[in-house]
Amino acid sequence: MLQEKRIALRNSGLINPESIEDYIQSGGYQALAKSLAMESSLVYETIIESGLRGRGGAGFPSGAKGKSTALTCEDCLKYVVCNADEGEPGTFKDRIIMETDPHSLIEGMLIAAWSIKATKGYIYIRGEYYKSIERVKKAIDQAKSKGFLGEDILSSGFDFDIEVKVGAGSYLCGEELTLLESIEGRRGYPRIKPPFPAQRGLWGVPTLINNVETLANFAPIILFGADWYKSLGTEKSHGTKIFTISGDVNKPGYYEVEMGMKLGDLINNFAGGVKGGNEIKAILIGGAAGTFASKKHLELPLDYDALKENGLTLGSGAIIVLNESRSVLDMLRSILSFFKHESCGKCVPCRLGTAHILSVVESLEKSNVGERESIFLNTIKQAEIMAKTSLCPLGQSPILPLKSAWTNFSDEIVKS
Amino acid sequence: MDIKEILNKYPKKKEYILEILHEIQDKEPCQYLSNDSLKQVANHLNVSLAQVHGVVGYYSMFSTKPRSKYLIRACKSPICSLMGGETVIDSVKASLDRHFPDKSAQANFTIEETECLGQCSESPCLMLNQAVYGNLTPEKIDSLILELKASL
Repeated sequence: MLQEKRIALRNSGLINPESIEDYIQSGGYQALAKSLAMESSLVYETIIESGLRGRGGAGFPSGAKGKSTALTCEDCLKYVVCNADEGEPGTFKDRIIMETDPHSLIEGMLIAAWSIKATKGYIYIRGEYYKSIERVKKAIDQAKSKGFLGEDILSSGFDFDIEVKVGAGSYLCGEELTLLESIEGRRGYPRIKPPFPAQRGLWGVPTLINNVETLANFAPIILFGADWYKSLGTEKSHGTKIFTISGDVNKPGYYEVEMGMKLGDLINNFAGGVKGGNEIKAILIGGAAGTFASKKHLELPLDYDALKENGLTLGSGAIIVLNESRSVLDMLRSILSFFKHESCGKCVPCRLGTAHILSVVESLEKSNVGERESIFLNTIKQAEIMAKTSLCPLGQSPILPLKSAWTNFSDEIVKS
Repeated sequence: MDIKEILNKYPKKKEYILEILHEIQDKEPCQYLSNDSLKQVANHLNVSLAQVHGVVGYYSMFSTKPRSKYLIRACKSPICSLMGGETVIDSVKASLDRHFPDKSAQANFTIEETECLGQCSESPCLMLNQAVYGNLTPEKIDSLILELKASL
């Protein structure tokens, strides 16, 4: 019997999210005490050893990012920023963590802060997440009153404070450098990188940016050790991942499972299978900035490498199921229209490209069947150019659904 | 609403601009940012009015046009669209026509589209002011509008 393995969601639904006592009683803030008794460098070394990778979508090794930030300068001002600007269509895992167990995020942030000796942290939450904002703010106040935040935390001499910043409806601000621009009070335009935030981040100082789910894993890793975390998942993708499943399934929702679970098992055993007794046609993995998988991929293990070998991405863990009555091309249009809307317009190739690609795909049905293949392949080429000439992941994303839709559903695209 | 009172809660630093704009907009009965309030924000933060407009214009949650007591934001994300979201706005409009045949009474409602609200397991969904309503059907939308009518 396949079961969930809850680490980031360890307390979700089991404790009162508005009670710090509940969190402490379930072992909360013990990892913080353990971290503060450790050399700060040992904390990021433990995270490196665990193999934890960023759960926001990019999958960058989390410990390495911490180490790089810590080593940029010894005793200078540094920041920790939590990216809670969850806007990837189909993704709502960070919201669940913030609504059901906000202290797991705060403890993770404290541990991250100690590892790089940062004294100030910001949690940037998207503006539409009213309940998350309320819960996290309340949790911060409680942590302050218990001495987990503020000055001389647990008599260790370590000072750290967290402020909540609120977004205002921009998908792009979920991109780490754009997010920093937004925290500084500007329009959300991406910055040129390098320099990476580990070198020059918020207000030009070294900044460690991590996703909510990533940080929620920090406390258990410190408490139970890197070997424990490494023993979960697959050889190269360690630990667990929260998948948010939507679309044509009987039980849409969020499920945290070990890395390596088969895509088909996740859909059938957890999400209750395809709705309406229909067969699966397509699975969009990773949201709009994700890739289309087909029925033949149902046996694939969900881990970073196995998906990559098949031209797919894990992304943020969004799984959107389309039954056989659905049109892949319609979904693709919907995605391309999203990118057109969210392009900030700073890079010309993205500003013009997202609109152009949408218009071509929208009018595909009006063209001759014989010409559709060359039209679509040409569009893929244009999306590739756009990816190479845009500063941030938005311009680099449309190629993902376009290319994977073509690889797996070219027959349908040509004939529909 | 006393804008001065809101402004005085925040340090005179540009980093607080989004928080300030949110609070002013939330407290304004018509849920928008007037040019006069933006001027006061610019003064408080010691930046030009153009800069404030630059920020306001970028973020889709802000509006410089008056909205209404009830702001309905229908999710038009790829997932909600897949699950029938494209009919949500039509259902809202039909329901308003049914319960408010006198169009002037519909001024209490502003309908907007929004990108993914992160409620995808309950798609299609909409946001009414700060609350989310999911698994929408025309019947569910109708009873929501009826509830709002009673509270007007």
